[in-house]
Amino acid sequence: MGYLGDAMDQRQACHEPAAGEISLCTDQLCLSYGSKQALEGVSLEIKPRAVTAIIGPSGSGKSSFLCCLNRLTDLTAGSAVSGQVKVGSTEIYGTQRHDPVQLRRQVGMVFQRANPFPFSIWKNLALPLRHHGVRDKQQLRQRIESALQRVGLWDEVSDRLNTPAGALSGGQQQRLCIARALVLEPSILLMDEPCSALDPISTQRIERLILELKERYTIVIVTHDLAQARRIADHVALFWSFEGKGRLIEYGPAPQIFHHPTHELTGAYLAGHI
Amino acid sequence: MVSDRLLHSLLALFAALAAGLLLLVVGFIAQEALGLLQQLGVGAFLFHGEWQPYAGRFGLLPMLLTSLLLMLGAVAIATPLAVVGAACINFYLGRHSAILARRLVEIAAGIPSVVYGLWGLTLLVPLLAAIKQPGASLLAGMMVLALMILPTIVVVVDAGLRALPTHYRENAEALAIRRSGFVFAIALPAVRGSVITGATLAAARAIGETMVVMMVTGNLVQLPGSLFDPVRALTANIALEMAYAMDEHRSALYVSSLFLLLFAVALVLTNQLLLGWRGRHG
Repeated sequence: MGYLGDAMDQRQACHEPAAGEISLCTDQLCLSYGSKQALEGVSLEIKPRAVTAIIGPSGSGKSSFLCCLNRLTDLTAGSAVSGQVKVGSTEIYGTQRHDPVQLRRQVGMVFQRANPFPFSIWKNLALPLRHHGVRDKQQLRQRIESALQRVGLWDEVSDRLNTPAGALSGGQQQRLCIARALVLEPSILLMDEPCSALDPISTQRIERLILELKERYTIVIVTHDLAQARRIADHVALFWSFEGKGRLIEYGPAPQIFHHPTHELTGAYLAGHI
Repeated sequence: MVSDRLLHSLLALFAALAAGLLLLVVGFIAQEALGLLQQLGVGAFLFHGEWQPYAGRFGLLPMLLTSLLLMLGAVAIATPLAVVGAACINFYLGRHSAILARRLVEIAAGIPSVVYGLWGLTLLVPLLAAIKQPGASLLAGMMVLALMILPTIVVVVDAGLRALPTHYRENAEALAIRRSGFVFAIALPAVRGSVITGATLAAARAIGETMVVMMVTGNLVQLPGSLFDPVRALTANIALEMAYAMDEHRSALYVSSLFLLLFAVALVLTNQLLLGWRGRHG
């Protein structure tokens, strides 16, 4: 299970997934918007049932990388992806047209801003379920309750499921959004700076939640907050921008990256020199 | 500070002026109408079907009902079309076609109603006459009015859809919800308020519209028995008879105006009620 060391040009083939586990890896992934290249040659293998933190300065392509993993890049006109992204045994940018809907049920996503739909708490969670064919009231109730329990929101909102989701606090809204992503039972959860708009107490709550969730889900989290990466990450990938193109410069287990970085930029970045 | 206070007083003055003018109009109508209203009682207008001004019979029921039906029919036809149209502009057309479509809708909203009336008279009425004589009918009125108010609703719903945060779409996509699912399960329900407001504004236009209904509904005072019956709306009646109405007849037309005014008030209240209800249960 080779980590990428210093050499960013070193090809890293995607391994066959272990039984029962949905693996996630990229190989020579490049992304461009029109003539502007945003990502270049990113190869990394995400470890299952662990938290992988993507860190790096602004503009180094962290969020773009995340959006490649569930093909949210499709939404941006003029975006083009080359290289491989493999989810399980499926090549999601492969020649046989892969249905993004199937993919996004496996790969859930939580955004920077908590953004529940302008409906009730119940409807926010029922909507994706109904859309994907769950009509049975009993089953809806069960899955909604279990998702809310998983994010620790059930006790706080079980008596007001019909109130507007917008009335919840910022931290509660973000946990609702996590529940909304979990309600479809994905195996991989992408999080794009999920705490950057939250106060320290809500942040702590979400971090605890992430640590609980990694028992069941593979989590990839983009964060600006190095302290947060130290607290929750099992693996860390550092992205860097070279002339506007984001590249992966170092990837490894968190302790190794934080204590014995091999790339000089990593050391300087973590020490706050750049 | 001084300029602030000055501006404030000026604004207050203009606001008071506008409100005062409106009150004057209402007061004038009420004053002209009240005498006859007191003399005959509201029931003589509301519950009687005969409009024979020279015989002192001022039953407004057929025309009240016609106006109401015209409005409801037009709104019922136009609202679904407008909602689909606005969704199309926002989520299915390309950027340039969307801009073109918006301009067209804005132009359509500004076309004088007499032009819609002319179109209805020369094109729609003969078509309907081919199905059932005489063509000029309640249905013709509903359809031309629907066409006339359609752009108004599209503009309002479109503004609502454009004001939706763009991240709703991203969120829906990330939840594996396709575009059609997003449009019908998220975007349109999220702008229900705009749909209600647009439909109310359009209803107010429809109930007040005079020219179109005068041109295409046949102007026969009778209780509408079917969609193909010629009918006369309250507004058309005022326009048709005001020129020569005297004394009681004239007052009766002012009573009609008063009812139209009440319609307008009722529409505003209904809108508020629906929006309020939505706020509590939405």
